[in-house]
Amino acid sequence: MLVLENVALTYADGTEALRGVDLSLRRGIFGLLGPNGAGKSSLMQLLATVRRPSCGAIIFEDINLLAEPRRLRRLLGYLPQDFGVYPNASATSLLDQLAVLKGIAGKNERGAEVERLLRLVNLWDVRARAVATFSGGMRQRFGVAQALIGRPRLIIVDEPTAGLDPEERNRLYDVLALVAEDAVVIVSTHIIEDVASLCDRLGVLAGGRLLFTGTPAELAAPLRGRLWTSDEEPSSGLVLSSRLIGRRRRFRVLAGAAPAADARPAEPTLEDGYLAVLKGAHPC
Amino acid sequence: MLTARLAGSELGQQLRGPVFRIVAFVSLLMVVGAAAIDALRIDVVSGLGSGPELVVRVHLVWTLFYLFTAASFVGEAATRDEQTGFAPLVRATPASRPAYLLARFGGAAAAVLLCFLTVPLGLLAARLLPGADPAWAAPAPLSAYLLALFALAVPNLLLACALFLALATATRSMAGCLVGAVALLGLYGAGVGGGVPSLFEPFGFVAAEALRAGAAAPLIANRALWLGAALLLVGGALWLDARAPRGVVGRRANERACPVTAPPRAVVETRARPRHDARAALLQLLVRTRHHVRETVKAPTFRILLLLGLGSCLANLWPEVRRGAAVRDLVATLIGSFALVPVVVILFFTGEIHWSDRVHRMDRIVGAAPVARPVLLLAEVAALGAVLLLLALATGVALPMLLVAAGRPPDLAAVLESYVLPKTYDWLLLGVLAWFLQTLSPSKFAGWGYFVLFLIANLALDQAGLTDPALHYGRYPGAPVPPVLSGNADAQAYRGWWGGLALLLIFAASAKARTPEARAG
Repeated sequence: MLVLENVALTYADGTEALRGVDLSLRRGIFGLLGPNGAGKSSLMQLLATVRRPSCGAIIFEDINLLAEPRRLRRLLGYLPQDFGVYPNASATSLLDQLAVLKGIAGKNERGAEVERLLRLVNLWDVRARAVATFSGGMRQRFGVAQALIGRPRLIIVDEPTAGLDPEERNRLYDVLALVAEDAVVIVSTHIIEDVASLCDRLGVLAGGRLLFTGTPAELAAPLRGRLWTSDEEPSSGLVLSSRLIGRRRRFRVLAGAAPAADARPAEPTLEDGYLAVLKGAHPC
Repeated sequence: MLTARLAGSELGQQLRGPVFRIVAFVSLLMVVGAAAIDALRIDVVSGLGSGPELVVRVHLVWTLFYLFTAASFVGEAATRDEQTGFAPLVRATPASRPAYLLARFGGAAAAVLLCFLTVPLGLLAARLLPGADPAWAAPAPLSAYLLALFALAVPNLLLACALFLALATATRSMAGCLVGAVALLGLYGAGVGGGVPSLFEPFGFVAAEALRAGAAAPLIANRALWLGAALLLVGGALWLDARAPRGVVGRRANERACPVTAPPRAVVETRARPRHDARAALLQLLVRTRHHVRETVKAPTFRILLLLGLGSCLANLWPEVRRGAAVRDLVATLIGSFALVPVVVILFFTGEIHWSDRVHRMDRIVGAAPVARPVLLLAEVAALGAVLLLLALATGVALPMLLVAAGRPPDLAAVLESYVLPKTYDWLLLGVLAWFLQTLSPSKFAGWGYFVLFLIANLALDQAGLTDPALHYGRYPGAPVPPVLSGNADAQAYRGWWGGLALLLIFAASAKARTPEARAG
């Protein structure tokens, strides 16, 4: 179980990245949604112990993250949003080095672990090539592999699908779904579709505050009966989103009654629920 | 028009950077200090005459000091786009590559020239100081300043800038410029010492001497030749840049080679059992040390510096070997010949080693691993020690080889005892200090700057007559000759003392690294 109590983070320049975040999570996949600059990566960095909160407590199982960060790192797998690699280091040698840092001391044990992970992410055939020459998708797969070294019970994955094609994304989430049976997996993203079918629960972070936690159904369902779609500028209600389709703009509006002459009731999606939360119009 | 605007933008970029301010300040301080304070006047600017003669000589000498400034400004301007990942965006614009590179060069060279103005300004200011040395306070006509600046300093600086532009374009790295600066100083020193004709001496020292005798033609010919050389170097750089690829270099591994498939469930299970005991920590230390040593030794900069140093050693040793000099004298010559390269290696590679994870953006992944931070830091020190030992071995082996070539016994034990081991120790003392300064610094460049300040402070103390080894970190009686050669009874005590201090520095850095703030910063 992972528990966050009143966690806040203020950077040296005074920027409040996180404010009073409370959260408790069990095994499974938790999706963290939020716009750019919401504080998702800051929260992920706190959980990955590479940054320290300004206040609050973070407890994983019986480990106080602030008091015993190194003990937590023994159970941790972390894929940062943006990472590089050492030049000229092959996938095998780099994973081997990281396996040593994660405490896998036996040479044969490490070799087996490296092979297992490279096969898991389907990079075994290019294991001898320099990771620096990998394409973006392959590099992300390598990133997932290093995050799964050992048996992490807390897996932090920050924007893992940026730049991946749909097949890669599905593959990545298949892997995470399997490991989530024995671990708390937190996936941060600003892509709604990523969490729709994958996550047991999700949260919406904006302006450093956790505005919503619950299941995907709890995000979208409360808008049922109040969501409208129209091609005319609405005269009432709250516009959640508008999009150009062909040359016409289509609006999705939250309102008690039809906000425009051509308004039609619409089935709320996860994106609608997410936008309603961001605009402070969600009944959560 | 576009080129001029871009050059202006580059100049602005340079002026806003901390390096410009630091160099300008230090340059001004050195000129004014040399005029006003006897103890701060370094040997090369002593006895330079007075008045106009002094003005000319100071300008000439300071262009040599500014080689590293030119390497830094121009190298950074030429490689910034690649280093920051901005290059693909720039290359996708309609700006022509030659115009773009010329603009970057123009702006950087203008920054170098602007910075150099601190020299004539410092000379003028020094004349107004009370108590200034009479030679430095002697009046000099404006024509002397104009001649020194525009006929001597500016062409020299433009030549240096052009050379470093060519080096940066050829090597695509700032390290190439640094090595070029070291090589140029070394080769220049050897050449001038050997009596190069005035036309072919690139910085105009010899031609300026002819000017004293009233002959202007040698200087005019010299300037024309070397300005022409500068133009050729710029042309060469443009040609090299035009041939560089526009997009991503090298073939990327294709995802079609690794198609995605559903993962077999069995592959998800692991048999690995991580350990977090002393054995694991020792293995982590060894693996990280090996990683840093490999990165350093594979770096072209290291190899070139080593070759330069070896070249200097061989050139100085061979005549002495043939003359039949004793091994202890040959070791002393070896130590004198290989003095600059270890300092440059220490300066450059402590920064490279300490900031490697941050530069390669592996710091967050490594930072989230359950390895004790002191282990990571100790690995850096161990790697530095291994690299310095390698330097000592590589240069130390030159002497036995020359002895064998001259038909003499190699005397390996003497070389090991009197050079390899003691010099590795001495260099490591300095290396630990440089590394410690990096651990205190917010960036690699700041760490380099702190170490350079330490070197300058050492020089200043020497010039002020404060030469007691107790006041100079790492120094001992008889240094740089080890006590086994000098026979100085107190030297070992001093070396032991500095070794203890170095251990304290390592301990302090490790203890600081244990704090959560330091780790999670």
